[in-house]
Amino acid sequence: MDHPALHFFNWGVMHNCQYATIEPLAISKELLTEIKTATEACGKIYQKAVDFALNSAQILRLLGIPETAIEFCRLAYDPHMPVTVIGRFDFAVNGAGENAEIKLLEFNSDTPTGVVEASELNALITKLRHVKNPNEMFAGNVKKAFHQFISKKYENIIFTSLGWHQEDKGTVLAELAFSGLPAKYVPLDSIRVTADRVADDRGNRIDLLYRLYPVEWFAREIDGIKLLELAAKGKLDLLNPPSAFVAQSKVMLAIIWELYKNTHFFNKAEQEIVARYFLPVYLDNIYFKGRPHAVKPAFGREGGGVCLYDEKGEIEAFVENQEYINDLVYQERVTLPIHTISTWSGEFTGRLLVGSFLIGGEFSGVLLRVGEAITGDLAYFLPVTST
Amino acid sequence: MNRQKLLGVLVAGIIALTGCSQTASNDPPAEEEEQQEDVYYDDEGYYDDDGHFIHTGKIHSGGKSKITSSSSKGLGSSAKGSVSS
Repeated sequence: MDHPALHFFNWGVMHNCQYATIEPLAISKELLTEIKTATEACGKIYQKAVDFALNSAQILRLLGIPETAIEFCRLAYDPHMPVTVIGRFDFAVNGAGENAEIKLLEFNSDTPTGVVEASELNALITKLRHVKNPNEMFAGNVKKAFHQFISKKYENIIFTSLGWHQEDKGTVLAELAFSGLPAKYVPLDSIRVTADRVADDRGNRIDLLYRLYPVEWFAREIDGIKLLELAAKGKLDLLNPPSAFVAQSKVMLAIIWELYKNTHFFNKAEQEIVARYFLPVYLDNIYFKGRPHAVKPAFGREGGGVCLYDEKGEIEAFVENQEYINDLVYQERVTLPIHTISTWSGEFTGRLLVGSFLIGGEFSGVLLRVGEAITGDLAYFLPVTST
Repeated sequence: MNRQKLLGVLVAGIIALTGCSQTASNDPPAEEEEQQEDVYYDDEGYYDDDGHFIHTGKIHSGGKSKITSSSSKGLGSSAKGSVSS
């Protein structure tokens, strides 16, 4: 997929398989409004729940936060800021219009991708098709969110990711461009960490680092641990912020459910939000007797380590990944709707997953993907338009 | 030790200490916490009308926190694939 209007998107084909499709799915204005409402409501629940979780190092350990990152999470946290700059909820949406049932599957708050697809690629496809782009606010909201988070003057702002990973690099380059910040991109392996500072490829001290790289991965590298220690001491600011990392753990879903079911932590309006959009999630597997459920690792990515069980307790689907075997959560299962799309090799019928971006606390666009029962790396991107 | 029960106890404890979520931290430093004992419920409860488990057991204490550590590499060297989530 190549077009002069595509400045960042160059992974239309991944692993020699088609990834991007070009026939937009039209969703109604009413459903779009429902998704927007769900997104911002779930964002408020997360905001309050993350603030709660950061009260306790023991809760953070239960979330699967590595010991080397706990101090960073607590000391670098700013409760006055939204939980993340750029995050994406993944919803199961069954039904249509204002009567649709929307259930939250997970919150990709720390290192969400799909940014370029939802912004640049969706804009191009809808323009070529002469249909409405429901994501037209995306880039503007990214800019607004960065300026919301950056309240002081920085001398050296760096955006980083794995330089060798095409999709990650393209995502960060787009975010850098959208931000409008006087910043530059430096690949992660060109960044140097010393005892008292983090420096870019020219040896200049970095004072704000936007990273598309998970905190839990930093926490297993010696230089990454030093970087987190410097951030905890205030010698480096990191975005997404630590609250985004805390929210990324799927154990947060179990904390929210516990707060909802067994305490009066949430007010009545918030309880209604949890009841409407959240699924029961527990930390042990004894709570779903005879009911279908999903098992997910706290920090799994691309569906890695996810296992779907039927009502007999038998496995229906799983994505093997030895990296993600700890800190499991058990979530009531909701079935994703079936959808058929056109691909280069004919029709493909799969499960439709609705991603919805929360940027600076605001709904900022929809990302549709069609894949297997567990949406993985090879799910198709499906453009979206609205009626 | 049932992790869900531990979660229930921790949540109840924080709410009791803070009244709500909007207060400053009440946790002792991590070093002291490691000396603290874990707490847990009796394995008692029931399923409500929605099929969700409600704790009713008593709170006990015992055991120690278990903490794991990390490995040793430069920035980005532990990545095995996309960070995509």
